[in-house]
Parts: sequence; structure tokens; C-alpha cells
Amino acid sequence: MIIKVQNIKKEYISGRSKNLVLKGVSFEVNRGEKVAIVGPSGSGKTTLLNIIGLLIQPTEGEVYLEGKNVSSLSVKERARMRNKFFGYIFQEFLLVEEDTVFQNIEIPLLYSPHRTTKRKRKEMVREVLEKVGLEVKIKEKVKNLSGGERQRVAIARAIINDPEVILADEPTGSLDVENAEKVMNILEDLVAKGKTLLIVTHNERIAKRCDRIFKISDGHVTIT
Amino acid sequence: MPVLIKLVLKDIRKNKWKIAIFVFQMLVFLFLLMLALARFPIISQGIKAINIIKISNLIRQQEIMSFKDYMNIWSEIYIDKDMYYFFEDLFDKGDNAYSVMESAEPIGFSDRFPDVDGVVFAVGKFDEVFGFDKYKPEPKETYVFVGADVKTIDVGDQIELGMYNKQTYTVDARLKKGEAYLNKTHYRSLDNKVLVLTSFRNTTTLYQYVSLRELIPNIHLINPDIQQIDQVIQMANRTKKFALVPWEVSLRDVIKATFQQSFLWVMLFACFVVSMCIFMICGFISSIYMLIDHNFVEYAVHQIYGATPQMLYLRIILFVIFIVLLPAAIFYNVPDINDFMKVSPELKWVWWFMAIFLFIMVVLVSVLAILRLSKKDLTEFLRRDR
Repeated sequence: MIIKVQNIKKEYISGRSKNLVLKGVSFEVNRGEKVAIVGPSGSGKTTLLNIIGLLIQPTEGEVYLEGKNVSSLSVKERARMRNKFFGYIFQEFLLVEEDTVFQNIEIPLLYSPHRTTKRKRKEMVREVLEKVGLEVKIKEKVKNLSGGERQRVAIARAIINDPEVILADEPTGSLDVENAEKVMNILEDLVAKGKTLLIVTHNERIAKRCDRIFKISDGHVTIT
Repeated sequence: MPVLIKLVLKDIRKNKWKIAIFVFQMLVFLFLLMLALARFPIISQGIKAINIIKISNLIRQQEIMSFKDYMNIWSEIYIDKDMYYFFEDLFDKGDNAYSVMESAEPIGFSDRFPDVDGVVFAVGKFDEVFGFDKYKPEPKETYVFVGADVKTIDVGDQIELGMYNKQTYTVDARLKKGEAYLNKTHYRSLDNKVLVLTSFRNTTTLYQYVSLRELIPNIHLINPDIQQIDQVIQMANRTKKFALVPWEVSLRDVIKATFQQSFLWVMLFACFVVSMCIFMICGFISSIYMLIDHNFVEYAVHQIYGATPQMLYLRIILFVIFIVLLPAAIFYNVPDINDFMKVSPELKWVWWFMAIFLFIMVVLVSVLAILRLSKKDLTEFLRRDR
């Protein structure tokens, strides 16, 4: 078991109104597993993914990563954990448009505890770009890339630090069928190499390609 | 730290044109600020204030008494022997009186020496009260000193003084910058003046009755007794020109008389300088806000992949320091500006003012930038339905 989520609750407060999005979610994910998180819009899929990825704090409950409770880590420790343990992929890519492909992909390396020279970083970026089929675009500015290429750059950035878990929030949501297929194939290759994948999706076909599906509805998770 | 410096340099490269415009703006601002401050009347007022306090303390310690004078403008001055000898004894033989004649400039003097703003004749113990005895090279009856800012007359030059009788004198010394005296409540700078320390007899020989019109009403007595004050009042009455009323000079009166006129001017100038500073800081803050908004995706990505909020704050602070230091470094190294400041060493405070202003600017802008960034919620940014 690589991830354990125990009785997670998350409440959003907006002015005087409170919205309890997650009402005590618990589940476990095994190493090398491919899990889809599905549910209607606003059901809390992204919130759950962000809590697991240490991007936001739950209102209640605990998250365990490789058996370690990470709910009470300091800001610095959470940042370090995000850097080495997770790779993040977002629907809207979250790339720095004016920067080159290299500059975008090297970001996780800059905060890695193992200091790397620029030459080494270039080498590592080339390696991951080869995996996503974009090695010739290393000096290209992100703003000049197509949607599919951008998502592959985002995947390259997500795996540059060799993380244990890849968190993908609608990774194919902004792509056409052909590019979506390419992206899914890359992600499945990573799982085949032992990585764990949690993917938030609205797409039933993508969900069916996963080992398990966590369906969120009314703040609770149903596992199928 | 090396990572942060690398990222700051990247921010600089990405914003080079904006920074270039800001640097230009900042250079113009610093130049205008320096000019404004250098001409700020408060500088000379400050020097005046220090001298006034020094002089007033001196007067208070020695209990110097001056007189308010009421002049009969219609009558001619009447001089009799008794009266003349009384004042001669008072100033030239006595040890507790002094006076000044401030309009001793001979005809045509200002044409020959355009930077001289008047000739002052001082009699009695004036030199001891205001500390001019240190300029006296050797004992003699008359000494001539020029003010620090007088360029047309040098030590050793000869100048002719007097109205009814004329006498040529050699200039003995140059006074230090800021030398001054008080005539009743009025502060008088000697920086642009010629000061003549001489006897009552010599002054009246050169200027005759004209000198008495000033020397009598400007009498100052050191530690006088009542009898002496009465005598002075009586003798002054015998001129049929003056009525003197004893008047102890207070520091309050001196400051009021010196600063009242320039107060409005100082306030206007201060408003100008303050508005310039506010205008510059507001412009800088809005530029930094725009940079933060523009860079927010990048900050979010860095935070997702391992940067702590403190690292992002430090990155912004380093950026702010750089773009303030760059124009400051250029400005402080322009040779003409350095020369300008060297010419007027008393303007060193302008450098300090500007340095402190830049420091406050860096602190203020950094704090506001950090508040701006900390208010931006990363989680809001990560929501797909934002």
C-alpha cells in the first residue's frame, strides 16, 4: 500500500456559507496501481487529488504515504515531499508560456535535495523528452507548442524527478482523441514501469482502462 | 540560494524592457530629488538654527542685553561731547559692550565686489562674544575678515572703506563657513560679508554721525548693572533721535524672527519632495503587482514542485532589491553628480536622505508584494472551475 486516506473531510467556507465537499473519505491505493477518480462536476474529485498531493490541507482526517502520516508535516517537509514523491499533471497543463520546454521541465530538479549541474539537468530533461517523443523541442518556447505537445511536456515535468505517484487531473480534458490516446499510452507505460497513477476523469473509456474506479458522490467514495 | 539567484536573473531577463523603463524613470526621479533636496531651504535653515542656538546660549550665559529702539525719523542726530565720550569709553575702554554698523558699504563697493553682500563694522567686545578673536593674527586696531563665500576678495587684498574719510585696509583672514552673529533677534550670516573689527573712534572717523545712527541703537551690554543701563538710555536720549528700551533677547524671539518668513516656502518644498516620493513608490508598487500577477502561474508551478512560500517571497525581495539598486548604483557613480556633491560637502545629508528613502522603498514594496502574493490562494488557482 502506497497511499492510505482515512476519514478525510474537506469544508470550503465562502462568506457565511459552508460547503462540505468530502464527508469522510477513506481508501487505500497499492503501489503500481492505476486508479480513476470519477464523479459529477463539483463533487470533490480535484479536491481529493490535491489533498493526496499535499497541495491543500484536509479539514479533518489523515493521509498516509508509504505508511507515514503526512497530515502534520511542516510547510518545508510538505514541499520536499511534493518534490520527490509526486508528479502532477493538470488539464490546463500549468506550463510557463514564455519559457522554453527545458526551463519548464527542469523546475522540479531546481528544488530537489540532490543538487544537479545545468549539464546534468539538460541530460535528464533530454531523457524524459525522449520518453514522451519531444526531444527535438527542448529549446522551443512552450507558447509555440500544440495542446498535445504541451501536455506531453507537462508529463515530462511530472516524471523528471522519478516520483512514486503520478496525480493527473483530467490530463486529456483539453486534447483531441488522437492526442488523448498518446497521453494515456505514456501514462500507462509509466504504470507498467511500477509507478502509481491516480487520474481524475470524466471520460468513461479512460476510467475503464484503470484497475479500480473511485466514484465520488455526495461527499462519499464508492469503489468499483 | 543559487537557485533563487538564477530565478531572479530569469525574472530580470524576462522583464528587461520594463526594468529599463523603470531604471530610466528612477534615474530621472533621483536626479530631480537630488536637485530638490540640494536646494531645500531647510539646509541653510538647519545651519542657521545650529548657529542661533550656539549664539543664543552664549548671549544667555553672558546675560547680554540689547535695546528696542524707537527712532524719531524727523530729527537729525544731535551729538555733544559728553555723549560722544560716553560711548567711546563704553566701547573702546570698557569691557562689557559691543555694537554693529551693518550698512558700512562704501559707494561703488558692490560694483567692484558683486558677491559681497555688505560690510559690517563691529565695535567693542563683539569679537569675544562671537568668537572672532581666533582670526586675529596680531594685536592692532582694525581687522578685516572676508566671509567664506566671498570669491572676489582674498586674504592680503586691499580694500578701501569709509564715507567722510577713507582708509585702505589689508584683508587679514577668511572666516569659516557658517560664521554668524545676532543683532538683537536677527540672525546674520557672514558668509557673503566683509567684517571689520575696529574701534568706536575709528568707525566714527570714517563714517562720522552716520555710524552713530546704527551703533547707538544696536548697543548690546554684557552683564550690565541698572546704573549702566540708565546711563545708556539717557545718553541715547540726548541724541534727540533715539529712545531705547532694555530688551533681553530670548531664543524664542530669535527663532521666530529667523524662520517665520521661510516657513511657508519650506512647507511647499517639503510637499513637493514628499509627493515625488509617493508618486515613485506608487508607480513601483503597481509595477511589482503587475509582475506578480503576470508570474503567478510560474509561482504556482514552483510551489507545486517543491518551492516553499518563503522561497517565493525571497525571490520577489531579491528582484525588488536588484531593480532599486541598479538605478541607484548608476546614479551614485555618475561623475558629474559626484562632483556636484563634492563641491558642497554640507549636502552629504542629501545622499543619506536618498539612501534611506531607497531602503524604505525596498522594504515597503517588498512587504506589499509579499502580502499580495500571500493573498493569492494556490488552491483557488488549482480548481478547474476557477
